[in-house]
Amino acid sequence: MAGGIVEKPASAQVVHPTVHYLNATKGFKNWLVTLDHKRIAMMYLCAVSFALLLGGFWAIVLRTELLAPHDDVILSNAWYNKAFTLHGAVMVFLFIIPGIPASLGNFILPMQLGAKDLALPRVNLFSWYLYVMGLILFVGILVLGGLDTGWTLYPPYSVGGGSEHKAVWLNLIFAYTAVFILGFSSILTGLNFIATMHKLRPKDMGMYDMPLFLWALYATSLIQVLATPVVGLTLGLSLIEHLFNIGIFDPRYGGDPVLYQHFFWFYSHPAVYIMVLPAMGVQSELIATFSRKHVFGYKAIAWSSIAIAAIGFIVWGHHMFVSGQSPAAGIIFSLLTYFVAIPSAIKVFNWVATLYKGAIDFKAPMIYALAFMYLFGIGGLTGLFLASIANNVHLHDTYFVIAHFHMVMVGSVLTGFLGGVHYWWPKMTGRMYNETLGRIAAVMVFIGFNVTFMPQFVAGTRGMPRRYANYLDEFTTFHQVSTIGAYILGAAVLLQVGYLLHSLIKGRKAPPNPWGAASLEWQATSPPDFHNFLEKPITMGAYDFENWEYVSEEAGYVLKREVIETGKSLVKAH
Amino acid sequence: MMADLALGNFAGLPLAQQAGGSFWFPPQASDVAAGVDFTYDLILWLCIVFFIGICGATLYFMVKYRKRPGHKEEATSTHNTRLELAWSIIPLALLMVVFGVSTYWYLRIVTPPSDNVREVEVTAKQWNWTFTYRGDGLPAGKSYMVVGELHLVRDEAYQMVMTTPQNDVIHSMFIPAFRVKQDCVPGRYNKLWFRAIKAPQDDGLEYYDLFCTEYCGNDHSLMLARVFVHDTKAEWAAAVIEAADIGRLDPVDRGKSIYDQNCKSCHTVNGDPSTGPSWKGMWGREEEMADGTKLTIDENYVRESVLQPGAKIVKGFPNAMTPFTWGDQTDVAIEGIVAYMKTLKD
Ligand code: HEM
Ligand SMILES: [Cu+2]
Repeated sequence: MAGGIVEKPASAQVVHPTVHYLNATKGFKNWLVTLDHKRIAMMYLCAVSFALLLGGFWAIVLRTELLAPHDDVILSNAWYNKAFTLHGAVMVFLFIIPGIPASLGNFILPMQLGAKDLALPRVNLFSWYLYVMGLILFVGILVLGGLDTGWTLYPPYSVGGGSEHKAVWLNLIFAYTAVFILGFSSILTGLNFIATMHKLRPKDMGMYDMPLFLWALYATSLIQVLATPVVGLTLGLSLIEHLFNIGIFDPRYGGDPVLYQHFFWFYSHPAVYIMVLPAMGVQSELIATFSRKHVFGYKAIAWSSIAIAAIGFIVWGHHMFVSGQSPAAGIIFSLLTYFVAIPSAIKVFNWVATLYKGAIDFKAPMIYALAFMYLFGIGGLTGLFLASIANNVHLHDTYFVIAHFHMVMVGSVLTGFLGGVHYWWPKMTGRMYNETLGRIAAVMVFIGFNVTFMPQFVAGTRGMPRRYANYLDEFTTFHQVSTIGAYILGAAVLLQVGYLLHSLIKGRKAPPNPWGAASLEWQATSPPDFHNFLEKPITMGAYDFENWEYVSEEAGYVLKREVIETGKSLVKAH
Repeated sequence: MMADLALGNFAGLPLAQQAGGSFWFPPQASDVAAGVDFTYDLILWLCIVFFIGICGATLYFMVKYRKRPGHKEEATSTHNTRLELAWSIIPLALLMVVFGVSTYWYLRIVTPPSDNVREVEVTAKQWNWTFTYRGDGLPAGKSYMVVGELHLVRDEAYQMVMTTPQNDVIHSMFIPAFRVKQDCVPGRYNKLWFRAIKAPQDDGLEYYDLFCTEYCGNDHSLMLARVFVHDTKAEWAAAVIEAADIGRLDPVDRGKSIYDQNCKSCHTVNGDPSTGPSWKGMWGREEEMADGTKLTIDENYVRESVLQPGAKIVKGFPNAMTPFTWGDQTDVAIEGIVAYMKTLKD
C-alpha cells in the first residue's frame, strides 16, 4: 500500500466521530440481527459479564457459608453442594472458556488485521445465539434440575448413583447438551478466527507481523476445534448408555466410571489452555504497550502458544493419578505435564525481559498485567507441585488444587480479561473510564486475590479436602481469612461495574489512541466506524511504537507526520 | 445377607482439633511421608528461587524504568537466542531432576512390601467407612466390622482392599498424616498400602484423620474416620474387638448407626417415601398392607421386617428388601433399631 493520498487526513486524526458503529443504525432489532463483529462482540461482552457476576455471586455465598466450621451459616449441606456446582459450572463454561475470545477477540481480531469484519459474519452471529441458548439451557438445568455434582459431573453420582439423590441421568444429558451447544459456539468462533487470520490478513502482514494476541487466539482456536468434539462424544455415549442400558460409564450397567474421567479430562485439560492462552495474548499486548517496548522473543512467545496447545492434549491423566489408573500411566502423564510447564515459563521470562529499559506507565491495564505476572507465577509454579506425582497423591482434591487453579483461572484469566477490558474500553465504547478508580480497583483485585487464595495452599497441604460444606476446627482461620479476601474481590468487581457504566454516560471522550499502542485497531476512531476504518490503515509492526507521538490528553497519540506521508512504518522489519 | 456390624462414628461425628506437624504438613506418620515432604521442599525451593527471580526483576524494572519526566525508553534487541535457549533448557533440566525424585517416592508409595502385609477390607459407602478385620490374633474364623475406625499396629504394613457397592458412588480414602490417597470405585477393587511409623499419641493426638476426598453427595464433608495406631498386636486385637461390639453403644446411637449403614439407601427419616416407607412417624402407626390387612407398627413387625422382609409389605411399596442378620448380635441390633425408630415418632 502506498502513501499517495496524503491530503486526506488519516483516520487517526478524526478525533471524535459523530457517526460510528454504536449509532450507525438504531433500535434493539438492529442489534439482534447485526452481522457487525463489533456489535456481536459487545453483545458477548454483556453476556459473559452477566455470567461472571452470576458465578461471582455464588462464590460469595459459598465463602460466607465457610465462615464457620460446622454450622449451617447460611446453607444446608445440600445447598452448599448446589452452590459450588453453580459457581464452578457457570464460571468455567459460561465465563472463563468463552470470555476473552468471544468478547475482546471478536472485537479486536479483525481490527488488528485492518479488516472490515470476520471472514464469516453470519456464522459469528449464529455462534452468539448458540451461546445464549447454551446459557439459558445451562443455567436452567443448574437451577431447576438442582444439579449438585460439581462442574466435573462425574458418574455414577451425576447419573443418580447412591442414595437420597434424585439427580437422574436426564440432568446429565441436559447439562452435557448445554455444554455441547456452548462448545459448538466456541468451535464456530474458533473456525471463524482461523479463517479470518489466514484469509483477511493484509498481503503485507506476515504471520510474524501479527500482534501476539492474535497468535494466542490462533492457538486457542485450534484447541477449541480439536478438543470440543469430545464433549459431543461423551454426550453421545451417555445417551446410548441410558437409552439402551449398555454399560459405558455407569457401574450399574457394568460400565466404568473411570472411563468417563478420561473423556472428561481429555476435553477439560485442553480447555484450561483455551482459558489461559487468550489471557496470555492480552498480557503480551499490555506489557509491550505500557512499557513502550517491542515484545522480547516474539517468536518464542508465538510458538510457545502452539506448543502449549499441542502438549496440552496429552497430559489429561494428571487429574487422575489416584483414580485407579495404572502407576505406569501416571508416571508418563507426570513427565508430560512437566513439559507443558516450560512454554509457560518461557512466556513469563519474555514478558519480564520486555520491561527492560522501557518506560513503564502504571495505567490500570498495566497494573493488571503486572499482577498477572505475579499471580500466574504462583499459579504455574504450584502446578509443578501437582505435576510431581508423589506430592499429587497427597494434594489431589484438597484446597491446594483449588488455590492452584484459581491462581491461574482467576489470577490470570480474570486479570487478563479485566486488563483487556480496560485497555480496549476506550476503543469499544469511545469513552475513558476513571483512571484513579481503575487503579484502585486493580490494586483491590490484587490484594483480595492474595488474601483469598494464599491461605488455601496451606489449608490444602495440611489436608483440607475440597467440596466440603463442613470442616475440622483446625482449618477455621484459613477459611475465615479466605472469606475476607473474597469480600474484597467482590467489592472491587462492584466498583468496576460502577465506574465502567458511569463512564458510558459521563466519561471523557476517548481519542483514537489513548495509550500509544501500535497495533492497527488504534488507527481507527474511538469508537470505530461501522466499517472499522475510515481509510485503509497503514500496515506496521504490532510493536512499532516509534510511529506514534503523544499530543495531549484530549487527542492522545497521533501518527507521526513521516508515517502518514510515506505510508510506511519508521521501523525496519525485524 | 450378613449385615455389617455397624458402630462407632458416623455422620455427626464430633469434629475435633487435629494439630501437630510442621507449618505445611500434618505429622509424618508413615514411612513415605518424609520422602514425599522432601520432594515438596525441593520443588518449593526451586520455585522460591524462580519466583524471587521473576518478581525481583519485575519490581526492579518497575522502579528503575517507571515512566517519569526525562526518562525515555531505549530500544533493546528483540530476541537473543542463547539467552532464550538457556532459560528453556535449564528449567527443563531441573524439572527432570524433580521428576526423578518424585517418581522414586511415588514408586515407594504404590509398591507394597512382598510379604508380611496385613489386609483390611474397606467398604466406602455414602457416607461412612467400614473396615473389616480378621485373623492376626483375633479369634479364628470371625470377622470384625468397624465403622469409622481404622486400627493399625505400629511399623506393620497394611494393605487396604477397597471397594464401593455397585449402586453407590466413587469415594476416596485420604490419610493426610500418611500422605496417601486412593479412590474407591464401584465395581472395582482398588488397593492402598501404608506403614505407620508413628502413633497419634506421639504427637499428643488421639487419632489421625481419614477423609473422603472424592465428592460423594450431601454428607461428603461428614464422611470421616479415625486412624488409631497401637504399639502391640495384643492391644490392637483388644481394640478391634471392643470397637466391633455394638452392644456397648447406647441403643439409640446403635440404631442410628445401623440405619446409616444398612437402611438409609431405601428409607428416609424426613417423611419422604423412597424405595421403602419413611421411618418418620411410622412407629405406632396403623398401616395398610399389600394384602389389605391392617396392622400397627410395633416391635414384632419391625423384627419380622428385618429378618423376613417379604412376609408383610406396606401397600404401595415393592418387595425389594434383603433380609438382615447380625450373627450373635442380632437381638442387640434390633433393639437398637427399635429404639431409634421410637425417636422418629414425630
Ligand atoms: C504451568 C502449568 C501447569 C501445570 C504444571 C499444572 C498442573 C496441574 C495438575 C497436575 C493438576 C491436577 C491436580 C489434581 O487434581 O490433583 C491441575 C489441576 C488444574 N489446573 Fe493446572 N497446571 C498448570 C497450569 C494451569 C493453567 C494455566 C490452568 C487454567 C487456566 C490450570 C487449571 C487447572 C484446573 C482447572 C485444575 C483442576 C480442575 C479440577 O479438578 O476441578 N492449570 N493442574
Ligand atoms: Cu490439567
